[in-house]
Amino acid sequence: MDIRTIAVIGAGDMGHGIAEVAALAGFRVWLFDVNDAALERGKERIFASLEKLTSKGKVSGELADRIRESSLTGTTDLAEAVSDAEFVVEAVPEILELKRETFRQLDELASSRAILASNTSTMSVTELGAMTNRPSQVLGFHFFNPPVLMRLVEVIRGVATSDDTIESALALAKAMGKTPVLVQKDTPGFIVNRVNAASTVLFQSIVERKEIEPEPLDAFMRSLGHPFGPKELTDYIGVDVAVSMGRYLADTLHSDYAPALHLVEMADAGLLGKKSGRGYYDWSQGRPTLDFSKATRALNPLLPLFAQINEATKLVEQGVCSTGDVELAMRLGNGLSVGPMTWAKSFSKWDLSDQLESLAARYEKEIFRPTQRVREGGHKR
Amino acid sequence: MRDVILASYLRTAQSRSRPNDPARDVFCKMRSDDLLAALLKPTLEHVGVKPNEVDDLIVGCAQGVSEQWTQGGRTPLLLANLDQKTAAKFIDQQCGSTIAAAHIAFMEIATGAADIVLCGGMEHMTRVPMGGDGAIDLNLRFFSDPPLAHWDMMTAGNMGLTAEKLADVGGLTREQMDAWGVRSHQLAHQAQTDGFFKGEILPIEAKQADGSTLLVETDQSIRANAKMEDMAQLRTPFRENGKITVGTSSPLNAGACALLFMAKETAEAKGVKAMAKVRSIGFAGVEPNLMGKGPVPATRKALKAAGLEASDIDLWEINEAFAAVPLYAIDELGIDPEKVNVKGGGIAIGHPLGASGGRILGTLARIMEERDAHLGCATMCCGGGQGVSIIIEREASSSED
Repeated sequence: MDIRTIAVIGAGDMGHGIAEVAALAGFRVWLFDVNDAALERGKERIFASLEKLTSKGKVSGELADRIRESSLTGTTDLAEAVSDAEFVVEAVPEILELKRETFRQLDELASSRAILASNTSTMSVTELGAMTNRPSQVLGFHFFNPPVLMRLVEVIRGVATSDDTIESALALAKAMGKTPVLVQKDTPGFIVNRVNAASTVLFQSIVERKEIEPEPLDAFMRSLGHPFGPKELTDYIGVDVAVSMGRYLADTLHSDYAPALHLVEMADAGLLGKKSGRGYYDWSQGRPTLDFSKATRALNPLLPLFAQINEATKLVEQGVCSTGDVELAMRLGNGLSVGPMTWAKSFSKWDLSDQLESLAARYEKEIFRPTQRVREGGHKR
Repeated sequence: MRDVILASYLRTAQSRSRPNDPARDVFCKMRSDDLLAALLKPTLEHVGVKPNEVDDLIVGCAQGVSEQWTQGGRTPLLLANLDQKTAAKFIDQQCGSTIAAAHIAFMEIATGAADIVLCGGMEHMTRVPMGGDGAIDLNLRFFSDPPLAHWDMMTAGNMGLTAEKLADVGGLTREQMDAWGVRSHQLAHQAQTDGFFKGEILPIEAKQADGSTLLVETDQSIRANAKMEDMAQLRTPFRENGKITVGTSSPLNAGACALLFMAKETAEAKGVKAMAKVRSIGFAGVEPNLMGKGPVPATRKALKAAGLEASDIDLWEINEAFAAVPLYAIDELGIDPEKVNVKGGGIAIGHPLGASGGRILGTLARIMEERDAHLGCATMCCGGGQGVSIIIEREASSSED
């Protein structure tokens, strides 16, 4: 399908970034939000970002002007936003009822040919498709934060999604300069959030038990080449977001994914991380500066990798994606030069199974038990 | 001890390996043992040695797994249809593997256990990528047992990180290393343009991914137009705010080399002219997470064994696993940089891990001949924290008076 016009529904953290990416790629973009204040704020963030990209010489002044003057239009009228669009990306808050209602409206207002995509990170694409009369034209189109910088887009096939819809979305992601990874089955957390969930459970357990404090943990992980420490990252994406992700995975997959008590207490106390100014760290002066001399020596650096590798084999076992897809998605999604599945090739099935068994026993988490695939050495394939 | 001479040396061109895009490696359809096997007979024929006169074949390779497993060095010998009476063995001292093979050849001949020994090196970084593509299993106790934590195997397993650490320890700057990277390409390009490498490369007819055949006779990683401005733009992939870039790291490559060593008396009896005589050898271990230090203690041992000072050496080949490695050795050993890697190094010519040692040793002997030099040293660092070194000499015509 020939896509020229894209509508982005929601001008928040993700929505404004997706609209900017689409506009930078030369698409006609409509950006919707429910009120003028939210819309203006989204547009201001886009313009500020364009300014930065122009001053760095990454975007021509001409393109930035065109985006500001004509190719990007904000509106609070949903019908106006979607009437010309061939592709609609929904990026409203992660509240199930809100998303369902949005899809009902989009189905009514958008052209019957239009593809309706959700940027959800925690909801069933199939379920959203069921809200419409066009489930074959509904899929997941999951960007990573911030969309302008992160190259990965997870393209999620719902149960009813057609091959044509998938092809169009893959082509669109490439046209936007992104690298799509196809998620063949609509599974909670898709690839990156699901694989990260396993190491997140481990890190939360370690902090919950006070085995290692957040700063020594983060300093250590940063020293291994991770762009963010795990606790900094929780602050960056939002403590509330991490709590709802944990709860969602606990509801849909296994209670072991439930957020740790300390994290729930932080969320209840309004310590939401970067957005509220405080979480694990104080963000009032910008990104916290870690004291690298405090880096812990108490953590086996491979433990989080073991948990991730095991989790990835669950996805491969279920036909969600290939081992290579996991590696690519994890590199791009987590900003790593070497992903977990490259590491996996250096671990024997004997050692990896033993290590996962002891991890499961130590933290009383069944989700760490080695999969059949790991036991057979399938983590290398 | 008997005198041991290097009699013959050949290599393949070094292709650019692309584990993530195999079709772009011009050797993508060739196994490394076939590359090595192609060199063995021509290396003998070059000096008129017959296969049944060879006592031993020693094969060096850094990743002797999957299709680079040789059943103890035997398969390349059989693939080349050499003589069954020739023994074989496989040696892995990581990137120093072919220098290690030369060390053993030296010992076998010097002690009289053998008269003629072939050494081979092979490595294919597309078909057997670093890490062994699933055929190597780390011992996880390195990461879980506190008494082993001090080895810092997370750093030691990532060559780029060891180079970052070496640059820190050695006080090397980004600019210094960038300049060395540019120099490597410029010198290698000049040597390639002059046709210097033609004297050591055996052209190989290689099938390509598209079914066509290509005659591969030039190294594939040398850049004609390397510039400081471009170097300065490169990211530092190994460490945030690091100093090492792809421009100051050796590329991934596939290639093979072969060297023939003989007892001096055997060579003289057969009328074989020596390229150079082996003067001494050295090997040493260093911190695993600073593996790039290796050439320094290894070379000190080789110099001591030969009763020489670093200043006595006319020409050096110090393997450019990273620009930091020769720069560190230059500082520590007090070497004149103008004498080092004068035809470019691994950054430009390529570094097929275990096959590189034979390449730098053979190339060194040829440069010494070209420049009528007396003493040369070839040395390299090895993953896991080692160094190997070998000093060779030739009777320079200027010193014969």
